[in-house]
Amino acid sequence: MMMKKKYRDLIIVSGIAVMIILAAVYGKRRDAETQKELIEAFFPSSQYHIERVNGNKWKLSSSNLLYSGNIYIGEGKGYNGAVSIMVQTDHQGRISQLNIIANHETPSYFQKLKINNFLKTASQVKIGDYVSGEPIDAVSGATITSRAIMQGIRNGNTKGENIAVSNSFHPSFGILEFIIVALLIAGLILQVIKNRKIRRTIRWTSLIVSFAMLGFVYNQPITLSRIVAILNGHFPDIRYEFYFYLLLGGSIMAIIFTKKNIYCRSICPFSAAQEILAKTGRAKTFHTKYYRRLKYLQWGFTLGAILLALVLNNPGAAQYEVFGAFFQLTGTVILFVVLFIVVILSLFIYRPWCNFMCPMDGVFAYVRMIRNMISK
Amino acid sequence: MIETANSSKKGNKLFALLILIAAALLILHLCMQTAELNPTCSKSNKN
Repeated sequence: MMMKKKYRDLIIVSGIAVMIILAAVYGKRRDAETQKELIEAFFPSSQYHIERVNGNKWKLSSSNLLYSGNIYIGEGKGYNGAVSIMVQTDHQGRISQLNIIANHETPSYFQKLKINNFLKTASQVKIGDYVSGEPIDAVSGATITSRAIMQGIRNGNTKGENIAVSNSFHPSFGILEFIIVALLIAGLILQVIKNRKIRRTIRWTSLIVSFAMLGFVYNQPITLSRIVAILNGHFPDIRYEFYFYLLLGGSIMAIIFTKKNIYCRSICPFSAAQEILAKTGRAKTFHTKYYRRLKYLQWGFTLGAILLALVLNNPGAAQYEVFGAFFQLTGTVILFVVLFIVVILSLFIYRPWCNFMCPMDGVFAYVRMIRNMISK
Repeated sequence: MIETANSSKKGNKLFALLILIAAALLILHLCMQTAELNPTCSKSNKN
């Protein structure tokens, strides 16, 4: 019986891994062809003469020779992966056109940049001003994407012109990182302490801190699109997002060493929101004969979203969490409707999102499955 | 002792149904998001 279970787990774990690898390979091949077509689409050869200087710079002139300038192409690290920027400048370095030729950001966050006219503001600054840093303010609520665009402009310019820039790789350790370390330690302490009263105090303190800080102030829960971005080979910038490595690494380490998913239990800000709602409505654990089917639906849905995003080579396609809608009022109408259902359900049944919808449950279950297989 | 949300079968079915409705809406969200993201190009700000 044990052997049977072991083989079944092995088939599931390796089957999922093979599907993920195949989807990622297919997506990468598909995207390389699309990008080439996109660049050519912006400057058709019938109107422009383009001469390649290096991998990041092209000299541009119109067919009637009335206009000449440069095109720079650079990449910045966005929330879900690389953001490719194409900047057209005149001979004085003034930006005349700013195009995002490829991005993997979630549409609702990208929309924030459009609403705030970020691209227009970014193009009113000379390209040289980006070399020394960030000449304009990032859009609140879409900080990482804003930074990625500025980084893309800078990279295109500095690499295209061979300008030496000092890149520090020192991770920043600020308030957010401190909170995450404290929450991880509290989560580990909860696994050891037996006294119910102390456990309750630590758990509720963690939940409230997470709810307020990770939820409303920083809005940085772990999302599926981030996991897909990593599977796709796009790692967050350690200088600005060291917290993410702490959060994901710490949560996975906790599963490996304690077998417990402390992230969902006491760190996730949306789980804290559901706990508060459960307390308000005196919600109870939902036991149903459909439990197993609903669980398979939840995990199957997560796997489907991961494969879809990998095939499209766009981690943003896997984003279906309601965190943004709840903490930042950012999201599609459908997500707000789902959020409304989840909030109502949370008053009656214990953590409906975590137990039946959240993609992170499946991700951590998969990590736990690998861990259990190896330990056996 | 395990607590149950609702001892009545109707209550349980209602909650399960609401979860399924939410799941169906999430599928719809993914479909619409995919359509929006493909192609991945956003042209902007031509001066």
